[in-house]
Amino acid sequence: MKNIFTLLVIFIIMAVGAKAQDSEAYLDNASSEYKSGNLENARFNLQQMLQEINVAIGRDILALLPEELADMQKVEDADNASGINTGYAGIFVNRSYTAENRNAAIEIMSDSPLLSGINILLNMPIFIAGDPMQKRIKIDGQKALLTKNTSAEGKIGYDVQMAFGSTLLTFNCSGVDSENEVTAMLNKIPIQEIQKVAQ
Amino acid sequence: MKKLTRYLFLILLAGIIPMQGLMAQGRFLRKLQNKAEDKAIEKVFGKETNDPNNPNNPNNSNNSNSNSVFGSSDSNAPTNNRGEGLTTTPPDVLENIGAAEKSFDGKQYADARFAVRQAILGIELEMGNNVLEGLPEEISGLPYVKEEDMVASTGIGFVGLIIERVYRKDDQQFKVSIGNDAAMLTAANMYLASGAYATTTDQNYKNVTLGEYRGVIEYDEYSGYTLSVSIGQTSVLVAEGINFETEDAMMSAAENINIEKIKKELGE
Repeated sequence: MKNIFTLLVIFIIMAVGAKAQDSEAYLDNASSEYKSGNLENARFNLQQMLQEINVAIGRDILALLPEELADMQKVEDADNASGINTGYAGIFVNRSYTAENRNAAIEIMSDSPLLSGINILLNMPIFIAGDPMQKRIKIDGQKALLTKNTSAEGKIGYDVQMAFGSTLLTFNCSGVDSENEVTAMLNKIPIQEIQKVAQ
Repeated sequence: MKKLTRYLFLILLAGIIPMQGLMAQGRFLRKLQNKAEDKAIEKVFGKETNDPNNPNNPNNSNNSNSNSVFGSSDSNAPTNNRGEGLTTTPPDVLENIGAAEKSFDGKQYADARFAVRQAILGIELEMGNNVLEGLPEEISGLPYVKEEDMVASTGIGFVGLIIERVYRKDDQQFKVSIGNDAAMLTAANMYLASGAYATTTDQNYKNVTLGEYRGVIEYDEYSGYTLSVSIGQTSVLVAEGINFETEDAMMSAAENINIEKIKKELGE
């Protein structure tokens, strides 16, 4: 799962490419192109604007995330908020935390029609029935799937997936031994507020 | 490995769920067709309101309604036989651009996104209608069916804009579908234009050219001829012909479509 997200980040960075331009200009251009009958150009400008809006929403989500989790500080340069307009995922937000021998990351994908399907699936109890390393938990009123894993070096880690509306939040950490500590960290993430911003 | 299999299954199912919407559309169309047939029979033979087996008889106590959202049936609920349906006025583009600007300035990004999407929807519907206006009213002696003209825009890049027109007479049909601005169409177009199909020995499909555009024609015993032509970076034209005698007849029907005009309307 982590590899899938890493690939997705690379894909989004490649697709977004150039730096965001002046958002207002996109709307002005769209308006003038539409008035002069250039419908495709008007649509193109609006699609660019949509991307800008998604980046702005991503920044708002980053501002809501905690600066530190347990004793881990956020990694400044790792903050990322991208907007993409392929219909697969409109918003991608990433924040990483680190401390000696332990680290964590929060990834949020939003504005994707496919995520509604994943939401339903994550909330199906049948998916975790056969795996003793998985359990369903509830964070800030939302159900999530918690998976415990152990690396080849014997380091314990946890993955959490939580889907709400068209948003998928993924949390992973390693070097954290206790499940209670994981849920305490998750409780610091303002899920309801993120949901409100990302909707 | 077990974990990987589980995630693959999860992704597969996530892909299947949106398909349920399409299946529901199919059910709806079948229901619509049945209803239209019932109406036609009624018109010819008259309405038999006292027939206890007639589902349209409101006095029939056995007439159950199983259309509930949650699947339960209510034996006392009447069947809907009135109502014009939803209005299909396209969103006002300039009004929505203005609303998006206002919301964006006020940092109401979710509202701004909604307004931009509505504006895109309005533009795509207009583009689709312009393309339909440019299509011929008759192809190879088949008149177009006005009621079946269709423009669909989801405002999502994954699907994009879809335009359809059907030409039909007796048992012969020619259907034109145009897809535009979908992320997947870029890959499909690369495939269509690459000549990759030419490497196969399967004679049910082969490479053809329609004017100066490369494409692929397929034949299926049950569905007839299908011609797919790449007409730009993100647009594809698909023509389906039922009961066309030969490949030449199908191709000459397709030649009636002015691709340049379509490309111009779609900005390709």
